[in-house]
Amino acid sequence: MMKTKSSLLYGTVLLLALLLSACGSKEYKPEPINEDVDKCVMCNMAVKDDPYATQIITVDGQSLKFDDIGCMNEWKTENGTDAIGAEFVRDHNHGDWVKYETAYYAYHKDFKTPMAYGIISFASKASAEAYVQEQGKGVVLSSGQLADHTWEVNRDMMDMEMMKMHEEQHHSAEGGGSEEESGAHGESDSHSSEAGSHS
Amino acid sequence: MKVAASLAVMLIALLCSNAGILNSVEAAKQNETDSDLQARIDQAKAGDIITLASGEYEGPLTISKPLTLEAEPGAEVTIANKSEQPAVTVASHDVTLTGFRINDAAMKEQPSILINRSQSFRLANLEIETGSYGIRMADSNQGEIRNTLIEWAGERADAPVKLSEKGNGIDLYQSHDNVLEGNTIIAMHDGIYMENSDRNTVAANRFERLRYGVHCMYTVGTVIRDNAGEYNITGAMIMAVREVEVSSNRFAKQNENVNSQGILLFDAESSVIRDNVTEGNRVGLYVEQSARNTITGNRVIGNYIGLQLLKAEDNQITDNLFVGNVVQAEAKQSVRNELSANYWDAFQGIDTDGDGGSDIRYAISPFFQSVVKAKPAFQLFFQAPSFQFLEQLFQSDKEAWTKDAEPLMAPSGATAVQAAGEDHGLSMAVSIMLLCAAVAILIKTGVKK
Amino acid sequence: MRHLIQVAARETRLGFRNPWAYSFMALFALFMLGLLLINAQGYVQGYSGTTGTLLNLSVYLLPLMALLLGSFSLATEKEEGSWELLSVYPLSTASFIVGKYGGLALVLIVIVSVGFGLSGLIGSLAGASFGFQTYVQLLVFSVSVSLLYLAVAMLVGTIAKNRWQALTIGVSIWFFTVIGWAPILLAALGFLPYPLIKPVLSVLTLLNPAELARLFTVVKLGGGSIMGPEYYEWMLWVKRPTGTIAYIAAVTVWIGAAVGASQLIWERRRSRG
Repeated sequence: MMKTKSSLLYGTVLLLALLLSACGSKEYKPEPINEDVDKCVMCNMAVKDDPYATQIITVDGQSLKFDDIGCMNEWKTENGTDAIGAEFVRDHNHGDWVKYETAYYAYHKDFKTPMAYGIISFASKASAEAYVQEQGKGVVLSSGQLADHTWEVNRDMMDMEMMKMHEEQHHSAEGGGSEEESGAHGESDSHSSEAGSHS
Repeated sequence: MKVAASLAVMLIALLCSNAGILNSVEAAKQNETDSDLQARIDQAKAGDIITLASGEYEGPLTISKPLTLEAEPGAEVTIANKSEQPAVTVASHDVTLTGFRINDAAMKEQPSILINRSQSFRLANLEIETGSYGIRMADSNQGEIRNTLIEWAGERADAPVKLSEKGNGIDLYQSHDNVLEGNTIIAMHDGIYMENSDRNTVAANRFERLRYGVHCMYTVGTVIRDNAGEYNITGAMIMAVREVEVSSNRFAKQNENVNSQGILLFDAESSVIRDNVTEGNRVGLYVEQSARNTITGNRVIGNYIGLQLLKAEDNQITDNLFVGNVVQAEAKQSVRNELSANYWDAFQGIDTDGDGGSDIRYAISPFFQSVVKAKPAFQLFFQAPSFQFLEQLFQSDKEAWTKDAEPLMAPSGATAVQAAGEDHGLSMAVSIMLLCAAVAILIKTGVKK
Repeated sequence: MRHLIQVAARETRLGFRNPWAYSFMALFALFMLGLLLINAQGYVQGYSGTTGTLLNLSVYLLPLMALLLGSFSLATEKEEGSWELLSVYPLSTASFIVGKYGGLALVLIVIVSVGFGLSGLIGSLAGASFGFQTYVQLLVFSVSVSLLYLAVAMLVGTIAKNRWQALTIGVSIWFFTVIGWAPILLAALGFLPYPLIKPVLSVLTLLNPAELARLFTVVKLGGGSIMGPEYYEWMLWVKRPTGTIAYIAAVTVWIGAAVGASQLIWERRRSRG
């Protein structure tokens, strides 16, 4: 009895599996962020439902969430891109999910992001440019240009990085420059004053 | 680039000073009926002491000269702020604030106290109720914050506030050599957050119901000592640090959240984690991508997972105590760590030479981590008997497993767990009742005939 | 109803004459006590090393005990021909099956109570006392896992022609649900697309009484967070009183279905025979 029960179940499971793979050529959809449980696959920090969050949907349909696009880049360096079905970032102004490839990015090392990579994503080139203009600093990059980005973090941990045994793609030399920081800014880890401007 | 940046700095500095003036003018106008505190501050000379009598004063206040603002001994002083500005802005060196309450419950961008480009400030015995950040420090050094209570007050009945909408208790940005001691921080976002801030001392603080108790991001030489944390998502989140000391802290009951841990190290190097107690957490001690740290003398008790190592290298993990954890350790992709002389209560060693250390090594299985890292949905098998069975079978590549070279045979020092809460007498009474009932049934049914 | 009680009383009497019952009782009590005294560092509460070990011990021992005692009891009726005798009396099959279930349930509960009573008492005296909630939670777990497997045992005893068959089937079920569960499912579900794993595993867990009871207990002991993000909503729900109600409902449905199925099969045989 138990056996028929379980074999029946396996049948159903298999059927379901087949059905799902049948509608196979699937479209990858980003999952919404759930602040209660989502943590960055790379750095372990809680992923906030803010525009800094990024996400990979694997070919297998698993959602990997990151708190900063820099962490997503780390993941790709470490795991390769074979398993990736789609990559998503969020528009800084609206929080809409945008495909990584079609998005535009504003970078300045002083832009505050959760892991201090200083890269902010936008749905359109125009809004990225507007942001850079508004901030009075930074450059606009396409996803292609982002591939050549050095991915250095804001903090000059260089002297310590030198000691790192595992020399991966790591942070290249970087000027000190933290003195030019200005006063009352948001901390990276929250809706900073920049983030607060979306309405 | 440089020019643009310095222009931006000038612009912001200008804006700030403007805002300051405007505020003070406004404050002066508004508060004529009050004791007109801003005016008193403005009129005071550098180095003056302003003593506040009991009563409610209105913020926002800006202090841009060395000054002491203190409550009269025994006085009940409250600074209430309803503006979008910080209740108190400290924009000068050598400012002292002591002995009063700040009531600043509105949810807003600006912190309740902003300390901007200040040196040698001193905050003590304050009570801050905030709907934003408690204290935010930017480019401020050699200051101290002592015996201050910071509590979230922005709770609204109609809409519960998400953790991420709260600000941090004490937030440091590019601020060095400060002492944060004896503070209590409750129900905020992070308790003490330090970014790009070095050589700060965080001592004897209390953290409750926060996201992270202490949170380091890119810091060097921070000392985190004698703090206590309960019911946070994570007690100490030590990320991207070098030469940090985390010692004699006690983090308990970080177990509600699926990502909870007592102490987490990520990208921590050359740091010392010593004599801490982590008890009843989801994970006691979590170490990922961290190298050359010394982890010693910690007591890891009654956690769901005692020690978790992921890609941790060249760490020295010795003389720790692991007792009563559901799983005492998991280690994956961690090499060249020196584990020795730890006590693992679930490991049965053999000591033939009588030196107190086991002659057989304790090898830590990576199996569960390997399974759930790829497919978190299998986490449901945590400690299922069938999973344990499978784990026993899985011995492949055992040479590469992390091992304690000579685990202790007996714990050094007391292992008794302190936490109480449940009634223990009652369960004894119930067990006696159970026994009596069982024996009664046995006699009634079994013995008859 | 009178018949039912008579059957139950007879079953309990028979049960306590069975030396197996005492062996299991001794084994369970001994292991409980041993584990408690070896592991406990002064107190036992919440989800910890000690409670986790006790929980797993119960998952090993109690299902096997319930399966053997239950299925043997029914198979013996067939072997010894006492059912043929009984079936000429105006005794309904339902009274027979439910009565047997009730009588055996009492035997199991006494065994569990002795184990818990002894370990609770001696543990307290030896300074390794249970926290009250933890104690009750573990007791509820042990009783419910026994009752669940006893229901399965009724079905096994119904299907088996004799005690040997009952033993074979019983041990197979025990092995599949207690030992083989994770290995088999890891292998089988590994092939599914990721988004399907969680729902399929959840449904299958409901169908495995050992896992159902174990997970409920872990969550109630406060360990739900260790199951990870995928099951967070679930765990929150189970932690609330609604979870207890749902658990009681699930256990009832389980027992009802298994005992009901046994009764149907006996009824059919009776009308044919």
